[in-house]
Amino acid sequence: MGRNLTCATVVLAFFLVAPALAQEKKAKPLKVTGDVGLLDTEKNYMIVVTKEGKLVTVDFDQKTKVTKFVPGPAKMSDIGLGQAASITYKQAGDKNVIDVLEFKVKAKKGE
Amino acid sequence: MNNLLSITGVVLVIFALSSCALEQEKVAPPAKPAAPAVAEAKKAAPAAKPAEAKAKPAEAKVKPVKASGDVGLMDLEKNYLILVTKEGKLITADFTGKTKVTKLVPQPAKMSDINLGQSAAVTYNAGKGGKNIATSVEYAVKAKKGE
Repeated sequence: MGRNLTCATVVLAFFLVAPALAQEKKAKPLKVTGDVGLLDTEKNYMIVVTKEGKLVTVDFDQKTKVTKFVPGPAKMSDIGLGQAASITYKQAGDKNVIDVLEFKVKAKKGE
Repeated sequence: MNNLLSITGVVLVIFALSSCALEQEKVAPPAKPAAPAVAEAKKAAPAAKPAEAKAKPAEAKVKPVKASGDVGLMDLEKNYLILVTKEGKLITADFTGKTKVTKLVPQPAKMSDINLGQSAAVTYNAGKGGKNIATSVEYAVKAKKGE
């Protein structure tokens, strides 16, 4: 009788804890890109408007890391293989000719 | 008697000739189709216009295309690179001395530095109670004119 009660308690505890564990695993960071539609530095929240017109309200605090990317001149030789880049090109005959190339420099560790 | 016969004959000949002439006049209307021909010509003219209009966009089609991805190959001797997009598409593009190369250097900033309407990428965690808490905010500063 006592053994049965113990088994039942363990099973019940498992069913209670499992969803909580699953939820913890689910909490992976999300990313949204868009234009800043509202920024309230007093109430510490902002609204991002995505390209699709969706509004995402996000709160921020002192821990929120804010990074600005400042453009600067560079050379083609500065670009490494595998580096993320965005290009603007025009089709001239059967060739694509790049007008503008932008790439993000990775932040050094500790920055 | 002979006179009467000759007069009758002349009248008949005149009648016959005049009737032929009338028939020719009546037949004449088929000349009208000339008008539809003009109309067709007029119709053809507007049809030609769209063709010209189509030719113009073909010339104007050389508008810039934007693509993002990772640099898969960079040949500084042959002046070309291959960009691999997120979808796995390979874009081969040449660059020249005129190609403007810009590096975006990350620098720490404050929330108050962000302007309304500025493009930003926000990484956040969906917290309890439906609140999203931002862990990082990244935005690109627009280059000033002339830079």
